[in-house]
Amino acid sequence: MNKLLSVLLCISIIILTGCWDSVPIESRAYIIGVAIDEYLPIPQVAETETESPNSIQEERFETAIDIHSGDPLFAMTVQLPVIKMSAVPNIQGTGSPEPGTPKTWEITQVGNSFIEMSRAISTRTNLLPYYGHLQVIIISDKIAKKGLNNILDFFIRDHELRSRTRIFIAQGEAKKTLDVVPRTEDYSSIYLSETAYNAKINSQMVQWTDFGKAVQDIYADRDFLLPIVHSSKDEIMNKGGAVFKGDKMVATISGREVEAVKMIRNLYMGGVTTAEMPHCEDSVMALEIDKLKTKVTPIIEEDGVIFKIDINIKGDYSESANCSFLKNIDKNFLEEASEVFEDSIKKQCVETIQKIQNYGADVFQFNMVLKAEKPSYWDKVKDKWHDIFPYVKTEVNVKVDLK
Amino acid sequence: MFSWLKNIVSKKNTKSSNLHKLTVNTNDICISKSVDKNINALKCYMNNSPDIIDRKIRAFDSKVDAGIVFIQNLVDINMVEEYIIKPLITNPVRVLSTQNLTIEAIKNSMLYGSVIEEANTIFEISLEILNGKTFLCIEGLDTGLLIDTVSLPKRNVEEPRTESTVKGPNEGFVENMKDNLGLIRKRLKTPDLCIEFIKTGKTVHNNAAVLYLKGKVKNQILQEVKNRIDSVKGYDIVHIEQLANLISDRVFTIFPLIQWTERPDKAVSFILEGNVGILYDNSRGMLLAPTTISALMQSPDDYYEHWLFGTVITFIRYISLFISTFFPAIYIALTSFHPEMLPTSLLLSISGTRIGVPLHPFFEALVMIIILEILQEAGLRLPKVVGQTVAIVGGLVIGQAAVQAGIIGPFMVIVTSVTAISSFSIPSYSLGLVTRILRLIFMLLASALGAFGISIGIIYLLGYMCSLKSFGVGFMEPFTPYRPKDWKDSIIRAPQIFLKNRLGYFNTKSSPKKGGS
Repeated sequence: MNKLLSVLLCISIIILTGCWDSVPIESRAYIIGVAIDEYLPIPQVAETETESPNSIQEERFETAIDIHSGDPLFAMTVQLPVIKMSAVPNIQGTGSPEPGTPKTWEITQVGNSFIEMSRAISTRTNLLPYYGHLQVIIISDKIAKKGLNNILDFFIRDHELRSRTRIFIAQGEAKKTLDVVPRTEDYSSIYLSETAYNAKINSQMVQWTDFGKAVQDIYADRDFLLPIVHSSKDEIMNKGGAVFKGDKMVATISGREVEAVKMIRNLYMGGVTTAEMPHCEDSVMALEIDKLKTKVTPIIEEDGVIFKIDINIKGDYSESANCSFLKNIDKNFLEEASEVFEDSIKKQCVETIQKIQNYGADVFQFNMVLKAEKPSYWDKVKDKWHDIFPYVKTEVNVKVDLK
Repeated sequence: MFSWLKNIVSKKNTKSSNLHKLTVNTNDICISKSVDKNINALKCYMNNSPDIIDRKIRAFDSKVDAGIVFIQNLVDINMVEEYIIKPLITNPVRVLSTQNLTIEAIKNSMLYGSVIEEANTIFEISLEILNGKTFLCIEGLDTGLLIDTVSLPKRNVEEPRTESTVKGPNEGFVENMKDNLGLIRKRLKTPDLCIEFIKTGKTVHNNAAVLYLKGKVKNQILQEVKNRIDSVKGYDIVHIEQLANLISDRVFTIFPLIQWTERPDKAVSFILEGNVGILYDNSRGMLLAPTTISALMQSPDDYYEHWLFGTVITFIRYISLFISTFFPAIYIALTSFHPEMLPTSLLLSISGTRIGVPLHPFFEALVMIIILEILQEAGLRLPKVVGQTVAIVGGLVIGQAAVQAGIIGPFMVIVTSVTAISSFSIPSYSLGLVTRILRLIFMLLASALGAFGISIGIIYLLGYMCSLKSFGVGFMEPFTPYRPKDWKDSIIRAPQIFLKNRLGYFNTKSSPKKGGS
């Protein structure tokens, strides 16, 4: 009898202490995208919108939050999939949801603290907000220029969030990116996060876009790049990069500059580059880069450090466009072509280095190279690296092996 | 449950017959020289059942009285007439005079029957008569003869019902022990095949036959089997599965610690490896001891096909064992505790299917699993003709209707049907039953503690399974104790040429350091 009692006790301990965390899968609100904007003062918006935004905001309770002190600084928009809509074709097998019914629900809330905003959102849904499936965090460039530290704290501390969540910088208002209605995907967040996979065929986008990695870089005092996205009504373009110095965004760079940074940092995954064709006016030839290996070696001289950057490229000659005659692609031509490519890539890299040195953000992470290769020298310069970096000399050597 | 009741009933019966014996004490009564007295005593002892036939004849040219007793339903009447009555009546006493007419003389030179025994106690004779023998007594001799004239009602050798194979032989064990022994003997033509009979039961008096291959069998295992059968002699065992339960290592375990098979080819290959086989009177099938989980997961088809197919299919069977035990539990854990473990697109489609389902995932799963169990059970009971149709139609209709009515999500129907199908691909029916129980336990754990509960359950289950022993051999052989050499004939099925060595736990000489012996 005693044994039976103790067994029952054990079972009841297990069963009665469990179940707290049990939430059926359909009663969670899966937040798949977060956009963080500046809280716009009313007059600015009023210019673009015909209706008074004040009334809209109040109508939607967006500003209905009790803030302990000060004015709200941020507006956080979360995107929830409207699951009922997505499920209809699955169950019935026929027909698609009626046109015009939204597939997502974007909820905006203003406030100062993100956890407060997140909880405030839960007052407006019947479902339990859940960040475990967050795909993207989109931050408007204005906020990014003020610094990411203020924002990312909540996201890095929250236990539900994955550090593999992608982070993007939006040119303009971040919420607009979430409002995009993509054609091939139901939800703009998933659409956006999947664009990053194309970095293996296009080198003009930044692929190391994990939010955990960005936070690591901030804490380790490394400068880094984040992808910039531009959005239209039904499209999002992921191209170019935002240069971060510390946790603050300092500038944006174009796709070709991103390409050069990726080449120098040996993070190149694949892509094409073009150059003018020799002996042929106004024509362009393309090189599809198969393999790219870069070695950065710091050389210490009396007046400072020189970084020797050796870029080795293996690739296929893939196109000659706009050429009036079909040229024989023989060995001589390939040699000639690779020289042209070498020059053009070298020029691209040198220009990018100069431009970024002007911003003073070491996105090439030369400091890490120096730390690894010449630790004793690094110890001397590490405190004033930000002053040294803009004047660091570089020497770029490019070698192209064409097939 | 059934056997337990039986045993209680039989205990009561033996008590009452003991009382009866006190007054008569027939056990030691020898037969007398008078034919009439003998016949009357026997009939009286056997409660004058009308199917007991006695016949008195004047044998040896009407010089000597003789009597025969047999049970009508158990003997071949033709044999009795041709081999007993005819020679007795027609043969004159040529060599012997009536004075020195001995039982040996009759046995050796009169009767045509091939199996003849002498007997002289009423008890012994009545038992043999009940086995289908014919009793013959001669006036003036106090020893009777028992002539084998058995012809029991029996079934022909048919296809095995539960263990069908694609290419294997289509002979299955039947209820008749003689036929079963024949099925083994004809596949195992060696003088080393030993068969020992052990009589069991106080009322039913059935035989258990222990089969083994001398030189291959491990003595400890053989002794253990014989001892255990000896120790349950007092129970009235009707069917071999009851014997299996009685001689099993543990009473309360749900795992089969003795393998049951109805395929003679499988039985022979196990006996060849060194297992001990047990046959029982009037029971379809054979017990094989010891057994391990890897043996239960094997099917004869693995060996009738190319070795690679055998290996792949064995692997798939292990996967299906896993699915059939854990799939509903994993579904519950994922849908109620760990949505982060699902890929986003899958998560959205699952939660889409669950929109509007009023039940918690656990109850949703429970409803479906219970319906599944009901369908399985009903499929067994229904007449063969309608059984399959009703089960399929019932399943489809219930699945479809429940989804459309919104009680069950369509994903749960997939989970249930995959679980059911996997559980049928486990070759051992008993192991399939085990997964049915474990499935419920794990569902309960998953609903309380999610994946944490499942892992607690798995840890406990693995520990428990490792602690199980079947006749001294670990149930989890060859996973633990760790014997990678044996894996070629358990997890993978290596080509035949590599399978010369026997499994490690049958090695008679050098036993490994831990376990196994």
